Amino acid sequence: MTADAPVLTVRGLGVSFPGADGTVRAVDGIDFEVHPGEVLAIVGESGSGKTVSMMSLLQLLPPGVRYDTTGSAVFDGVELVGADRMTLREIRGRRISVVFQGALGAFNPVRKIGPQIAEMARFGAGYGKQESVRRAIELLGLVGLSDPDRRYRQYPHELSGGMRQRALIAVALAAEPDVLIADEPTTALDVTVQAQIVELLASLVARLGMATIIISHDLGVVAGIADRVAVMYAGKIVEFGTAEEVLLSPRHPYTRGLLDAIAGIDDDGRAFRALPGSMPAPGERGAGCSFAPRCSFVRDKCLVEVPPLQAPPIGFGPLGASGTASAASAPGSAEVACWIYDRNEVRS
Amino acid sequence: MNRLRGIRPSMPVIALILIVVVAIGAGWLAPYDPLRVDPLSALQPPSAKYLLGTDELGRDVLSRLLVAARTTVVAVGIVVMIGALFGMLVGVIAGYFGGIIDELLMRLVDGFLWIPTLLASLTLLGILGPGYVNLLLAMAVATWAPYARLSRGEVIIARRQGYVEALRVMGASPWRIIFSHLVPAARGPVVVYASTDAGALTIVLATLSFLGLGVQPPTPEWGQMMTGARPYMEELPLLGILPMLAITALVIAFNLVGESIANSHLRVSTVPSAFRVRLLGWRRPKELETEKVPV
Amino acid sequence: MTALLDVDDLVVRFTGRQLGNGLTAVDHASLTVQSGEVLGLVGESGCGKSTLARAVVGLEKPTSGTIRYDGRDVSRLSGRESREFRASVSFVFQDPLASLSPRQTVGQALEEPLIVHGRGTHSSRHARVLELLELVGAPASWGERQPSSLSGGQRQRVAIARALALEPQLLICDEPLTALDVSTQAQIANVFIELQERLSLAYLFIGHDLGVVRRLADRVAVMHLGEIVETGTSTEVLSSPAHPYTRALVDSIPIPDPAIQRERVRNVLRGEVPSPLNPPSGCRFRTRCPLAFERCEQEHPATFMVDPGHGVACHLWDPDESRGAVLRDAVRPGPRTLL
Repeated sequence: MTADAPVLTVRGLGVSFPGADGTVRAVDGIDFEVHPGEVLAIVGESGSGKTVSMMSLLQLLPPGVRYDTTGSAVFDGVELVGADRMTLREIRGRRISVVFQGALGAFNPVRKIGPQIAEMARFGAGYGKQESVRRAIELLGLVGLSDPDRRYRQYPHELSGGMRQRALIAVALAAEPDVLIADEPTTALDVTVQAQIVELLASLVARLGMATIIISHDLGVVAGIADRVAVMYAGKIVEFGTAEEVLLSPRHPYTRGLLDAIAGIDDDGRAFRALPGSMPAPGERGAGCSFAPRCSFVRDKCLVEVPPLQAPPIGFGPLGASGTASAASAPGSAEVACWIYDRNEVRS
Repeated sequence: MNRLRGIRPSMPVIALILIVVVAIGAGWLAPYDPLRVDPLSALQPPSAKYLLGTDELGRDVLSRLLVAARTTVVAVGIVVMIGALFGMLVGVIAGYFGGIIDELLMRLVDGFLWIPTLLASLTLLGILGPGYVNLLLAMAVATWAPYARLSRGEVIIARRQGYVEALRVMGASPWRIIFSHLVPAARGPVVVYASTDAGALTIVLATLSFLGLGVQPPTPEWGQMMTGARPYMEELPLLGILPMLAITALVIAFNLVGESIANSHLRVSTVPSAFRVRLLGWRRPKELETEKVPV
Repeated sequence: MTALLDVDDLVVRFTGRQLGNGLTAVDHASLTVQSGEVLGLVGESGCGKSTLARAVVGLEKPTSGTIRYDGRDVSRLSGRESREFRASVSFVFQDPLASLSPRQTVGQALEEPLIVHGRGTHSSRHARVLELLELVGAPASWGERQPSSLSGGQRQRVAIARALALEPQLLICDEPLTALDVSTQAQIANVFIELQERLSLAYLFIGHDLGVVRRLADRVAVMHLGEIVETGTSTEVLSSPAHPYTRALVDSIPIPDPAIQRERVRNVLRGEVPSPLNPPSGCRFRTRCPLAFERCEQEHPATFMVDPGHGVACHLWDPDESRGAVLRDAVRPGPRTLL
């Protein structure tokens, strides 16, 4: 992590949609910031609001859906929430670029790969016509594609899934952005290719020093690249901390459950420790903690009051087997939204 | 099985049901015998006795309009029914079996799609000679092809959607897959197309009758009534305007019904316009981008 | 003892205008599944594992080779035998929503196989539907619901229940967990484990998550570009792989530990997956194999036995190959006696 000022600061971001019965709150007030050269991973299952929150920042949600973004997101001194078209055009794709999920759909299928990248370099980073072509070929090489000259002239369908994902990263980098948002960059790829893409992203961040936000549901992939991890559940961040804190000594029962559900190759035994139930849809969240119905450590307070995301009280370490916090060895930077880590209970 | 699932009692649906009920009950509703000739009271303007006046032979216009509605609704209904059922059968078989069967059937369908319905019916009637049965036959022959195309597309989509494969793996016969699963899958868009098609066919029927090839006198029919009114348009324009208004009303009702059904299942918004198909031949429906709704 | 399912030298080729010389999706693959046994079939996407499974149930047509079920060639079954085969082998698809008809309630979907096979009366079928729902841990109220109103995991439960309706002996599962969320995957994997133990079913379980396959399967077959390159017990194959490809697969499994994961990032498999339209000569893995030598380019490897029941198609394990002895340790460390 760096001591630099954050390049993007998000406070109380909320996104709501008109639903069948009233407004549906897909993202319910999240806070985070990213610093240059840092990789922040936003982890959650589908429907947790992780993609919606990022896309709403750049007003990139599908057209035809009326959504309402609240809170604040300041990028380099510019407020993104409620920003007008012109401001966003300056930022979107140029200073904050996105690697979209589903690499095939993100390319124009009837145009060659190279010119699509060169175009981004020209309009995003201000390269000249000749320079932009050279830059595009350079980028294709940078993302690890063999024979970049030939790739420049190929059509998207001529590339394999892994190569397309690389080319897509090249597009996102063409504008030399300050912030790179990668939405599920490894989903739908084979594990062997996944590992390649993770390695590529990690090396690019190290070389180019941009702030990176990775949206993923795969904790293993996140572990390979992220500096800090935010776990989202039902529209809220429930746990936030360094990758080591969140993945090795989780505090929130949901994070614990997710990690337990992953089957390692060397694990013995047969049955999986599965989390029961499923995440409530935005319209079906009751009062209190959204995870309470699935939580094996649920208390009375969980059903009535929503736990705030806050640093655990001093002396409160990772979640223990019995559903209480174990003793903390050293104070960390982790934050957790769970009543197990209730300050008031410490006093009583 | 709830056969009418998805068809909500919206305004147009209620209006159409009303029109059909009136048309079917025209025999009882008509104040006079629509065929009763009374030369003494010919070409009368609307009065208390004849609410919408009389025609050149002294027949009551209101009664004739009502009975003509029955003629149209019944003829169009039969034609759409035959066309839709036959077309669906062809399309579902072609879509399910694929390969050479699909190729052969679809070339046949393409042949029929080439010719606009109006032209085809005109030619056929020219060969067969006018007459009610010939008329229905000519229209039905020219009608089925778009239904085949439409249901074939739906079946191909459905066939790719795992559940048909699941049925094959569990050992269901092609017959069962076609009639219990694929025909119902194709039904939605077919119903939507059929209702707008009924509107287009109303116009085809009226045109044929206007040209003297459709419904023959003395059976009342709107197009034929317009032909009859031609010499008297200056004297009594109402005589031509009223059947025209009736045609327009029925066509609009059919269309609005189609639209309201289409709106109630969003998925079938790619159904082509029946008017285009009927008057210009088939054009590939423009693919609409499926809207992704987040969350 | 006859195997329940015996796939022998199966070849499935696709031809078509865009496919040039044709695509060999399954290339002389053989495998067996014993009664009550779980065989995991793993490999990258496009390796032909799904095609193989689909060929077993007749969704793809084999170009050559035989598929025997209970000793009988499935392409030569009489009408009655064919019905018995259909009842005895079920399939669970990857996408549970697509595999359920949008025009049927859950109850109707579960009743369908019973109707197709003319089993029971209306009321006995209804009772069976409730029994099936209970079997997969679903409440009876689901019977009235539409599949679209259920979540992904719930739908997959329904699809599993339907596959069990005719009391099959063999369940072919084509990546049944892939379309599900992380926490749901574990739930459904547990359903598979529980059912297998309760009903002593045999599975041909296709998956790409090796962690899941490791726990679920008794034996594993690893497929690469249409060929089966390694078979053996799941512990043997996945804990100490003998084929460099299996080694790479195992090493690519994401592990949620930053220290391990960042270290491993340096040992990823280089190069692109070769196109199945134009596979490399000799060993098909050689273009990506870190240990490839000249022979791999010239000669297609035979299958060698590493341990009893553990076969691997790789020149490294040829007892006559002098270079093998040195390089073997890079794949599978530790002293080994060669058979």
